[in-house]
Amino acid sequence: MLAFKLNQLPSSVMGDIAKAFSRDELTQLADHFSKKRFVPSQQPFDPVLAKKGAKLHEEFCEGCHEKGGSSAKDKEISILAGQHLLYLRWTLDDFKRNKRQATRKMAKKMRKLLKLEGNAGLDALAHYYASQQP
Amino acid sequence: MNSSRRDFIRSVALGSTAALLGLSNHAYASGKRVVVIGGGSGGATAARYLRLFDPTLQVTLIEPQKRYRSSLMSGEVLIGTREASTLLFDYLKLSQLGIKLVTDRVISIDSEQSTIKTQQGDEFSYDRCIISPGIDFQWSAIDGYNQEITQQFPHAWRGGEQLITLKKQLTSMHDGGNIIISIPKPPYRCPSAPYERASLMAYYLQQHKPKSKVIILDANSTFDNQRGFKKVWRKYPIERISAEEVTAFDASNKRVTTHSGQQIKADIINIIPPQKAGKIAATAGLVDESGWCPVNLITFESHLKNNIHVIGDAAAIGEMSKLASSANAQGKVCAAAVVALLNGESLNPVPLIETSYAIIGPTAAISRGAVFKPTKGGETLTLIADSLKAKKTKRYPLREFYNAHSWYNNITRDIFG
Repeated sequence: MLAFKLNQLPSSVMGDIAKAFSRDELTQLADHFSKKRFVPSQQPFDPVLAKKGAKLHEEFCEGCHEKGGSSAKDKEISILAGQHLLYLRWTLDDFKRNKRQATRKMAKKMRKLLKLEGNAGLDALAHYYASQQP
Repeated sequence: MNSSRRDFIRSVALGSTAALLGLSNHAYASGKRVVVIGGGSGGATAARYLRLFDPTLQVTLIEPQKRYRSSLMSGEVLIGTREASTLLFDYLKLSQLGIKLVTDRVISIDSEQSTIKTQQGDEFSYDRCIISPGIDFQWSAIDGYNQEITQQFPHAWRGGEQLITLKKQLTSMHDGGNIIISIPKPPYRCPSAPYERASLMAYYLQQHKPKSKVIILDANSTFDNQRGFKKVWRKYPIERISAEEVTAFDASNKRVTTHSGQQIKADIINIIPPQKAGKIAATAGLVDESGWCPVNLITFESHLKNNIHVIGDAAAIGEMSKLASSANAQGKVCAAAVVALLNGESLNPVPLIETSYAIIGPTAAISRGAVFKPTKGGETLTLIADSLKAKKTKRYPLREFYNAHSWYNNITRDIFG
């Protein structure tokens, strides 16, 4: 929320809405949402792309985003598995265009992946994470 | 105010429904009666959140229609990229929540006796009443334009049959025919919707009737998100005549006259009439000379009648836009206030958020988000954040298009359960 407030994350209306809230209020919101259990989204996905994405994940992402991107162990590392497909795809695109700040390690992996697979690689990853449903 | 609800209100302000769970454990035992009139965005939200905040409340929702017909996304139905059935919502989930549903029309409210009478002759008593009656039209504002004529010349501003009639007119118009859309002065329901409709109809014409065009006769000189709209209009057959108010309509000649005396003919004339609060609000004495209902902006209680709260399009809400999302935010805030008042708790001013998306092409949309905070006594709302006023930002029409659909799914779920 703070990143939205500070224009550090691309968004629809969130960036502007977040500006109306104080840091204290944002902390209360964070506290509230942090107590919620993450529920993977039930959504359609492309199984062929998801299969390809699984391999790419293993090669480029699993090092940090453990257990297929479902691990919530490290609070600095986002859960990927079960996020909305479109959200995943836009977010990957934001990293590609440097609209979101990646760690040096992630930026390096991303460059490698894009060189090898291009946007199709990002599509595959998004479908793989979206495919992980209860 | 109990802490769950205080927390809730903060997250409500961000459009979240997530903080609900704690509330149902809170032990109220008031058994008090709240009647909600009107099952649109405001009323359905208020009814739902009343029960979520205080399950001991007896909540009755009175609404004449069995199903709600959304105007959100109706532009896509107009040009054939969405099924009309996806605009329909029933009240099943509300009923499962223990809300008593009454399919009837309220004909009078007696605020002295705290009773409500319906068309079918039933009477309901309340401890507090929330009314969300939506809009009515100022039929005397345009010479020659009246309620009967809307069957042939639909305003289609409340969805339903008129939307389908307008759609048929659009598809059957000959190539080379022109469309007039007339836009009234504010306040009216959904400020960006006329421009959305104009954009989508112009896009449709470009695809199917390349010799045709849309002419906007706009009573206003400027409008929200003007730059975003005008950018896409460069590609579309669309002409906007600014600060030109339609004052007369000649149905037999399919012609409108503006206040400056211009006369323009067209094949389809879509007059969006000037508006006022829904009829029952006037009948119940909740409306002032402005045509809208003055309310306290923390509790939404009427300034004119005790124990009656007015939310949604009918309420006089200053700079806040009349939108489904505004009604949704007001419904939650009002429900929290009603529960607090019934239980003798104190109230805090809560920010209100409005969000609107306008679809401007087959895969493009633009948005606005704004946050308002009431003054301490609830007299006025102050704009504290606004995407239109923010410097930055390169927005992505394609992303906004997907965001718009995602938002539609989320907000309708928040309203109807």
